[in-house]
Formats: sequence, structure tokens, C-alpha cells
Amino acid sequence: MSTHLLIMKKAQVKMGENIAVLLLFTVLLVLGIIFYVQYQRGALRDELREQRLKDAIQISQRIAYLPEVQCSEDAIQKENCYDGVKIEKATPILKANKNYYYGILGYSKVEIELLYPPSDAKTILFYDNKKPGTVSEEMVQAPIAVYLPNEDRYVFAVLKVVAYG
Amino acid sequence: MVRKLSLNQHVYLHNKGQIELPFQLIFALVAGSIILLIFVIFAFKGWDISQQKSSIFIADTLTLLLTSTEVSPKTFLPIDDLPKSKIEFGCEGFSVNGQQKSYRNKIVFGPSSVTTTRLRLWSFDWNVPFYVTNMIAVTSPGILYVFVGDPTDSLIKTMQDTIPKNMSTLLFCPSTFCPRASALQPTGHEQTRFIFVNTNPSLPPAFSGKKISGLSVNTASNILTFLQPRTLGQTKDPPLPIIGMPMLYGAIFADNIETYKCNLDKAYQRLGYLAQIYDEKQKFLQDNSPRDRSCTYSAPLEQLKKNPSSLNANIIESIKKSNHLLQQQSCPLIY
Repeated sequence: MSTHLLIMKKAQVKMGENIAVLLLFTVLLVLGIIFYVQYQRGALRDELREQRLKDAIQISQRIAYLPEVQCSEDAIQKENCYDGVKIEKATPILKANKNYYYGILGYSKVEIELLYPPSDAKTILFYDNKKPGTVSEEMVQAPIAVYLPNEDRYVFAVLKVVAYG
Repeated sequence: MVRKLSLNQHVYLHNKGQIELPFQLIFALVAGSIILLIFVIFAFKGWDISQQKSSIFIADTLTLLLTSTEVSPKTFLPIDDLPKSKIEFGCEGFSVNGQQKSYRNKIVFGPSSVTTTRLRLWSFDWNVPFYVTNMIAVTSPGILYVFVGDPTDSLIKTMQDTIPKNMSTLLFCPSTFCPRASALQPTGHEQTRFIFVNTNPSLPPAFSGKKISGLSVNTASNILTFLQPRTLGQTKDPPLPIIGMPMLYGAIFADNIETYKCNLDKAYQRLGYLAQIYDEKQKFLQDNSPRDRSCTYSAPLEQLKKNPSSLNANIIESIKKSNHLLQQQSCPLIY
């Protein structure tokens, strides 16, 4: 009888050991999964940030060739030149036709900040189409020359493109 | 001590073995077949996913190439060594083996469907007379383009000089390689597109039943007409005006009228917005031009901004003249 009882206790201890090992293993597995998910989230966030930066650069390059802003002389497009009068006149047209220009500029904000000479300093919000539920944004800036055809002179400016993500 | 079995026990064990062994065999067969089937299904699924991934990759790459081609006019871009894919071009987008991709606002003239490993992209700008947009023509070397018309015709010569030689297989009839269009034989190309310039369209007998399409161009009236596929007969669609060579190139490379007209609508829409901008600019310059000069801003942009599809050669000429006059007056130009 006492031998029988001893054997039963031994079996219970063994079972207890197994259960403990399983529990410990499960806890370690869950911890491992949590760390992995956190790491992946961080990596994904970085990747998305890089993608938005690329988008912002692409948009700024696309704007440089838009006939809505590019300078021209008798139908010959001038590179690295933005027509100040066209920019002013195009802004309300882009706002009124956001759906169309979304196809070119996507979810982004385009600002042109005139800097020098100081008498011309102002900021023009050329295009703004914020993505619903935007969680982050990335900006690129580039120096540009804005030509004022009525005065036949250039103004130093900065093109700011924000890509929404 | 070895225990001897009785006869009944012996028979019992023997029968048990007879049932158990075949049962095990059958069980192994069935289980093995199920496992093999599972592996085969996974293999097919994997192949299918790999095909889809490849199609998506091609579609993404093509979108990038279309974007870069669109930004730089007068660009010719050959794409070789594609995995053999069925690519379909529409007005709003294209598809690669069923994977759809949208162009957004790009104006792309291409064949309805082509199965190929090579593509050719060519961009050209549309000026009326100010720059409006770049248009892209897409084709494949597997499509034969036959231009039928007098070799001394100025339009034929312009097309020979302008369309990139490696764009596709271009054949001009009559010529050394094609003495008579009516005697032309199929050349093994996947599709053939006939472009009749100032000549009556007629189907070469050898192409009867083949995959063909056609376009008729009349320079005297400045119109083009899409012909019936397979028969090159007349369709119910009215002829369309040609406003600039880009429109003609678009009609050459878009093999159906719906895609062509839809792309034209996109072009006119862009023209409308630009006409608004130039009209506002014109009004601004009129009020703010240098006081020491007499500047006349009279380009007919008001009409164009209200109805861009009313564009015609007279309006283009009028805008050009206005701009030239301003140039002569040393005034700020409209465009």
C-alpha cells in the first residue's frame, strides 16, 4: 500500500515537472513573439518613412516639369524655372480640381516660399491634399528660381513638398 | 517457459494477422495519397503565387518606366527580356496577366492586347501651341505597322523621319520591301495594323481572317477614321480631326477608337485647365505690363478654357500670332 502511494506521488511530481516545463516554454514563446512583433513594427515604420521620403522627392521632380508652373519662351520649356504669375493663377485651379491633380501630385502639400529679395517674401500654398487618417508626413525642400514675367526678374525661393502617409 | 497455443488460439491469431496486414497497407496508401495530394496542392498554389508576384513586379516596373518616359518628351525606351506576359492597354490603366494597374492621368496609346517579352515606349509632346502634356505610345516588335500611301507624300515622309526606327516593325508600301500593299503576305507577326494615307483602304487578300486593325488618314480634310478590325471596312464612328502630329501618332498606336477617344478627352481636360491659367496670366499681364510699352494681349483663350474640344488650327494659329506680336513688342509673353 505504501509502495503504491509512493509510486503515485512520484508520477504526480513527474506530471508537475512536465506541466512546468510546458508553461515555461509557452511563456518564453510568447515573449519571443512580442519582441519580434515590436521589432517588425519598428522596421515597417522605417520602411514607410523611407517610402514617403521617396514620394516627396518624386513629387518635387514632377512639379519641376508641370506646364502649370514651368517657364516657357514661345513653347520652349525652360528647365529649373518656375513662372511666378502662373503659380499664382494655377493655385485656385488646382484647388478646384483636386481630384484631377491628385493623379499627378497624390496626397501631398506643395508650398513655394519666396525668400529674396525680402520685398517679395511670401508663401504660396500651391497644392494641399491631405490623406484622410494621415499618421505621419515627410518633407523635402529644394531651392528654386521663380521668374516674374511682368518685371522680367527672378526671385529666390524654396520649394517645400510634404508627402502624407 | 514457452506456452503452447491451442488450435483455436492459433487460428484466431492467424485471422487477426490476415485482417491487420491488408488494413495497414490500405491505411498507408490512403494516408500517403492524402499527404502527396496536399504537397501537390501546395506546389500549384506556390506556382500560382509566384506567377502573380512576377506579374505585379512587371506591372510596377512598367508604371515606373511610363512615369519616367512621360516626364521627358521625345524619349524612346526599349524594354527587352520581360517574362512572356499578356499585357492589355486601356484608357484608365493596363493589366499584366490580369494584374491591373492604373495610369492615373497619363495619356497612353497602346494595343488592346499583346503577348510579348518586349515592349517599346515613345513619348512625344503636344503643343497647341503652348505645351500641354506628354503623350506615350506603347507597342511591341510583335506588331507590324504597314503604312500604305504615295512614298512622296509629305505625311508619309514625316512619319518615316519621326517615328523611332526601332519602335516596331514599320513597313512602307510601296517601297523596296513592299512593291504593292495588295500583294503583301503575312509575316508571322502577332498583329498587323494598316495605316492608309490619302488612299482608299483595302484588305490585302492574304490577311483575310488574321488579327488586323486599320486607320485611314486624309490630309486634305485633316481627318482620321478608325476602320473595322479584321475587314478594314468602314465603321459607324465619325471621322476625327487631326490637331497636331501627336494626335496622329496616338491613333496609329491605339488600335481601338474607344481608347483613342478616351485619351483625347484626358488631353482636352488638361488643355482646359492650362487654358484657364494662361487666360488669367494674359489678363494679369495686360494690367501689369511695362508702362513704356504698348502690349496687346488678345489670344482667344476664353473660348478654349470654356470648351477645350473646340480646339482647331485657327485657334492655334491665333494664339501663336498673339504671342509673336508680343515678342515683337518686347512685351512679356503669354507662353
